[in-house]
Amino acid sequence: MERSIGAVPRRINADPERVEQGLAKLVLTLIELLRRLLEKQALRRIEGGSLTPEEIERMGLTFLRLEEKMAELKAHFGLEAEDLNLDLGPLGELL
Amino acid sequence: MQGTYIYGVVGFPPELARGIQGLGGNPVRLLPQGDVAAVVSPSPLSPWPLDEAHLTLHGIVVEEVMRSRPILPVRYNTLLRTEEAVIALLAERAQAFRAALERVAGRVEMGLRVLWDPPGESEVPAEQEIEGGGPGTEYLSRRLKEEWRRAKLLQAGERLVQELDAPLRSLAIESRLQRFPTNRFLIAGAYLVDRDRVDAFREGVMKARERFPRLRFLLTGPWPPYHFVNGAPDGTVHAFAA
Repeated sequence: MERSIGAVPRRINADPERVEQGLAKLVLTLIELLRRLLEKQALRRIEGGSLTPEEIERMGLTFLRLEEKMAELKAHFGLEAEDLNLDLGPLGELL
Repeated sequence: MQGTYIYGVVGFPPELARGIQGLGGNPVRLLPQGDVAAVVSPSPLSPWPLDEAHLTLHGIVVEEVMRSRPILPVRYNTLLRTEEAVIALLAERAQAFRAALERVAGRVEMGLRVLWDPPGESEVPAEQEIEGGGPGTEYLSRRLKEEWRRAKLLQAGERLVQELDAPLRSLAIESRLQRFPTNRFLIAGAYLVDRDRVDAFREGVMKARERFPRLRFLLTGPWPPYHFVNGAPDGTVHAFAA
């Protein structure tokens, strides 16, 4: 049976800069997802009391640096926080 | 190459009483299969532009058809290569379509969005603070507080949502609600309402406005039942906004 095409409308844009930004958007969205998940995990462990102050500090510094790096990358590609998301249709949005 | 654009699915017969113009000025007609039919027009196979003019035209076709019978609206830019493909689709889902058409017969969709001012900062309990440490610890401490505040927000908001939704639900057949799509939005949703209960529903929203003067209500409709084509009995969806 024939499948429907174009149920989700997309403009075909061959502009190389746009294509690069589109890829950056996708990659950064996934990194953002991972970052949030890892942070949540870390916060749960802190609440659980299973970490030493040194471990907490070290982890925090990593997340801090990651946040700064993300800000740099977003700025480089001209992306705002709201741009990083994926519409999963009936499943809602990724972030 | 020519394909077929679909606007929606209706019961069949009857035929369309009057001519309707579709996208690109092409004539709209019914493509029947048993007792259901697709509302179609010929179309090039490339997607139509995403602009107000075209979206509005699609909507107008759906509403024109809806004047004479129930319709299950289809998403903008749904194209199939051949009419045979359309017919096969109708045959495959005839039962689901019939059930859905019965469910929306004589009913319209009312759209509701409610905006709020999220409650201000409340005291974060001591357990959420992490003692001492350097910038890394400060960062995680800050995130813990943010998380706690967000949880409080959702709690407070959820109570409000229940209070708002309960009376409106009683005036409607079904609802599809999205909670906290953004921080400013309390709910974004659609209610399926009997045509002759639309005024009562509007009054229900007016009453809600009076009860909650600090909320902003954006009520739209009546619309064709865009959000009620699929048969989930309770369509509430939680937004995953962090």
